[in-house]
Amino acid sequence: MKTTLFATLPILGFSVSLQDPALLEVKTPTDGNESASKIQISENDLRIREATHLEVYAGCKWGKASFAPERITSEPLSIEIQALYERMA
Amino acid sequence: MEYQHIHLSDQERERLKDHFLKMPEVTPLSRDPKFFSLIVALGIHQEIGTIHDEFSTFLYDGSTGDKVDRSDLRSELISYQGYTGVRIWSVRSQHLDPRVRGLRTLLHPGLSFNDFKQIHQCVFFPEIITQIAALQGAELVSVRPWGLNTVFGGFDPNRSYYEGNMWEFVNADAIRYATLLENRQVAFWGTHDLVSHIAGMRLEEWPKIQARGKRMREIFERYFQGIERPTPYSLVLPYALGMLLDDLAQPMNYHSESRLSVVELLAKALETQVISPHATPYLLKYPPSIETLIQLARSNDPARAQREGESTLYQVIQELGRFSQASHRSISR
Repeated sequence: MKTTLFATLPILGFSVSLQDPALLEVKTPTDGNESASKIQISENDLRIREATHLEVYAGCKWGKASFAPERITSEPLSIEIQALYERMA
Repeated sequence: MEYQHIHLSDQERERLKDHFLKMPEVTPLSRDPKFFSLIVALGIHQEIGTIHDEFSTFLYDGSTGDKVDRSDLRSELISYQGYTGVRIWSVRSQHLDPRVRGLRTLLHPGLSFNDFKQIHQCVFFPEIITQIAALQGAELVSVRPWGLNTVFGGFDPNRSYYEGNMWEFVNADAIRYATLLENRQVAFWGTHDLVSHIAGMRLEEWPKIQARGKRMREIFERYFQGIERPTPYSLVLPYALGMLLDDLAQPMNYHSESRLSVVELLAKALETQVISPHATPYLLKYPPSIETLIQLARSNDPARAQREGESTLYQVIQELGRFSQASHRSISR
């Protein structure tokens, strides 16, 4: 059975708050006279909206270099590392 | 010095993947150095010149000082004296200047430097890099689910993220990552690992990193206990904490007090469950203040991080409430 939620949406001018999934009233900004209207959205639509938004946002942010390039003029190899490369030959 | 180009057919790649799938979830590269050298070299090779290429981020022209454009980079798999590696060069620059401390020690000296001691190409042999990391107290490992999501699939060179619903894995990945740190293990798949974690690694830093890994693993395990599929709403804070743990495991950031300060705030938020891990609302907009919090952590301004961290985290929590919608979904085992 499809679950239908009455929900407010995070559209400019609206506020969204964590609510019990009962009927919610949204106050729409008009010419100063507040009026109430209801928006109906299914749980499946919410799921899709969440997934779409998060896929675009979150992506590959975990695991990125977060330091600036540093110019290095030389880095002599330690004796141990030299030995590793010499052993290759 | 002679090296040979390696070409992998689709069938050979499939065979590599099949063999890889039989490996345990976390496997030291030293357990099968020849096999893993090929995997890692392939992982680096696939990334070079693409949006995933972190190596090119730090590559400059040694003669002009100009940034090397990643579209000018080429790479190939090579074999040399029984070792598999990856060769990277620029079609425009004959003198390369990688600006990461410690990276030059990971280059094969004979194949990378010319007679004028300039780097004309960058040649890496993962088997040798594994041994160099061991000298600095770290065990380089393969992590099977991460390999499946990168080297062996879900890789699109033109997209800014790997495919797959990462939100399905944040809880498992957070625990996994903290456990690796606790065990002095570093995943080695591609350019990020090479440039940001292995280059410049220092033995004397591991005790602190290990202790932090252990503590965070315990925090994540307690937070996610009994929950199979936490919702993105409850994963925002753990995800941010995971990002900063990765930051702190980068040698250039080992002592970043601003990151440490924000990590403490996030750890406390998880310990006190400011956002319940059992929460099920749909997150319809990512809280904008999380970027502010991360930038604060990365500001390298510890005084500012101390001053503004709590209020910024409070903003994040407010926004989580504001941009969410309750649901009936189930998340428990």
